[in-house]
Amino acid sequence: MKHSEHLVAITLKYGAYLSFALLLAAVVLGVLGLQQFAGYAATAGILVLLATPMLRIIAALVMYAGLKDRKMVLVSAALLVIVVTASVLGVKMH
Amino acid sequence: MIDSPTMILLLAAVGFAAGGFGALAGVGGGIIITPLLAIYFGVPLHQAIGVSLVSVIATSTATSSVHVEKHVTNIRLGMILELATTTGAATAAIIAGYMNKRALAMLFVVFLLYSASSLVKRAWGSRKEALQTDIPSYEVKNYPIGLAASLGAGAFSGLLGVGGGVIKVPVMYMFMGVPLRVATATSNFTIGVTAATGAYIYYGRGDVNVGIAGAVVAGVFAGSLLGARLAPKVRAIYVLSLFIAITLVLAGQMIYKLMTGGLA
Repeated sequence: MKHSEHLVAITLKYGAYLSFALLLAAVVLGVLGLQQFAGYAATAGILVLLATPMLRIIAALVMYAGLKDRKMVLVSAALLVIVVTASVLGVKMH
Repeated sequence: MIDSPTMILLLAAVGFAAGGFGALAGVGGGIIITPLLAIYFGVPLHQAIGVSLVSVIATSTATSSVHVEKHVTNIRLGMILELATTTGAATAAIIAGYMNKRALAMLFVVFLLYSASSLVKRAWGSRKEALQTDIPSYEVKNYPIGLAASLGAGAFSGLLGVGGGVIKVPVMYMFMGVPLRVATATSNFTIGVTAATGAYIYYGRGDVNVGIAGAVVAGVFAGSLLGARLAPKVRAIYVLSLFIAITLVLAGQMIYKLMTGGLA
């Protein structure tokens, strides 16, 4: 069980690293006056950050499926449905 | 992105301070980002909440990977509670779009004052409390109470852009039999998914200003990382006292802005 949690941890860790790198680049580019590129980097950084929690749920779903923990597979799947529904609502509002 | 380099650096500094203090005090910095942006930067309240939600995801993502790797987080408990927090957050995020800024601001002041009182209790308790290094064995109980509290915490997250840890941590600790360190790590784990659920709605509605959020969240990441490193070397009571003072000052400023109609 504890070894399997590594998948969830690395999903969070690399999501955070990638998002931080993009947002830091956005700040540096913005300070240098390269607004257009700063905007691209900021948008990419925010989207990576928004996607990371959803990827973490998928990682947990895979983890529990591997452990054959049916109850937690159901919990993860239900959670994914709620979060995906919210994101679809967000896209429709856009 | 924001045009002025000075403004970009100021927003990053706000995020750095919020992330740093949040990590040092063991609370999400989101609670001070919304009032700071609304009061001092003239950011419309709904947009300030949207930025705060994204900051909460950053804090959770940056710090919870460490707690998960150290096996402090109870992932199973966290994901069960997330069923309630995300439902509350999504519903409240939709409702927030129809609420006027005065009602939201008043609710925010109430939440700031509740958080300050909750932190006072924690600061008072931390005077003599020994550092909890080992996790005692425990069995999670009273799920219905935890789920009800999580629904409320999620609703506050979706409405006000906060993490809601000030509600979940005491409930897990006092009613569900979860050790404090595990409750804090598990709450920190859940606030990312909860805030993301609300943030999708805010983003879609146009209430996440990417330029402002980009600068603030970059600062939050840097502040959280530094705060987490410094936390073991700083006495919790001092940080909590400072955080309480900041929270109360912001609540006072927000009340003043409400009375004078100064919120954007």
